Amino acid sequence: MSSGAPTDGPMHQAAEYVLGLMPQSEAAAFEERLVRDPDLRDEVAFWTHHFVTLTDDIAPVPVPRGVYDNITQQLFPPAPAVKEGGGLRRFFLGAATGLVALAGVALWIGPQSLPDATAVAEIASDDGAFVLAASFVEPTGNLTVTWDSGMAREDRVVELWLIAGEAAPVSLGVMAADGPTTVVVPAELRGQLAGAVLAISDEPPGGSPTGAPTGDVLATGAVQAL
Amino acid sequence: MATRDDIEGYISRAALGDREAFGALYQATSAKLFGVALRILGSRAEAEEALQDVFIKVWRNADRYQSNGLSPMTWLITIARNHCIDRLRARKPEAAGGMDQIAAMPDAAPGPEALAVQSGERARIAACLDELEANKALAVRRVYLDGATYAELADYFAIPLNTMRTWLRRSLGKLRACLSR
Repeated sequence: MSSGAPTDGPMHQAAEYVLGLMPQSEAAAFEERLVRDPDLRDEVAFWTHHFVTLTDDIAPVPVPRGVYDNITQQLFPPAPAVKEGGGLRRFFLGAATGLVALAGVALWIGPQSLPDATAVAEIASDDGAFVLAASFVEPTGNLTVTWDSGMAREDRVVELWLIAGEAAPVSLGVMAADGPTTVVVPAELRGQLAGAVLAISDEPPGGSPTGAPTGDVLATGAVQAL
Repeated sequence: MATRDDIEGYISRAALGDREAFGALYQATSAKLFGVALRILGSRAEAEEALQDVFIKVWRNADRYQSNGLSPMTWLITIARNHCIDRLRARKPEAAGGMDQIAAMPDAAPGPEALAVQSGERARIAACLDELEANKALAVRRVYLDGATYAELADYFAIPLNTMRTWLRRSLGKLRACLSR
């Protein structure tokens, strides 16, 4: 029996996004809207808040002792870095389902950008293995990039590039392995940020020796002015 | 037992690089997040790996948590649930049990520990789900807790994909109305 009520409005989309039913192809456009639309963000927060209560009945389970040590070894490795034979670095292969990688969704609960950001970008790979958030503050020229998912490959670094229009990629520097990276965008490039693409590539330690990306491009994202 | 304010304090100090605060956050919340990971992934070994990844994400993104009316546990559990669902979906399709196996699983009966729930009353969404037909409520739960896709749901209920979409979206509309009451 059809009620005739619409079933594809923003409310439904927000719920499907939070649940993980939205196809990846639609998620990028939806996230662009999220940047601009506080009501849509509120809707996402609403569903997030309510759905999470479906976990209320899940009992806490004590965690084996070694787990915290593994976490701190990955986050705060003693210098020089301890290499694990089995590889603590797991490449998280994206969903075979073609649906939105939920890694990025978790962080849309509230405002994503720094309070005084003038432009933002989500730098992501199609499979969700790499997701980073970038915020730009025009008065200072500071671009802050934080890791959400993914990390540099073993013995390699990740370098950040700005690609404005048809111009060759310009390096903004090597990403910190952990925590936020803040770079000052050269003055002559600041005006080109909106609409430009930020990309990260896999490079040897110290970054590309040639001034252009030499390794795989891991993720890209378009910069949107706020 | 850590309060909501305690946990928010740990997160904001971890955001500034305070490793002790991160340790305190882990102490206060890892068991709950581990329970969630176990429920979704079903395997202890996978849940342990997932929990490590979750706390690494939490450390890296602590500065993105903002106290904006949502509880810090909402933020933490959402990161955990989403990571585990992504992980589940990345498994080879043959390894997943499919909807038949999923639907056969009973919802976890709350044990004594689970009675210390975040809200003092039964969650509103649970009550609103009870107002839906049983199948529709099952579909919503299986999407949230098991990452069921429209294709899997349609297959399980033996209905066309578009019909499944309409069913679920109508159910979401009803939930929304109920939750706003």
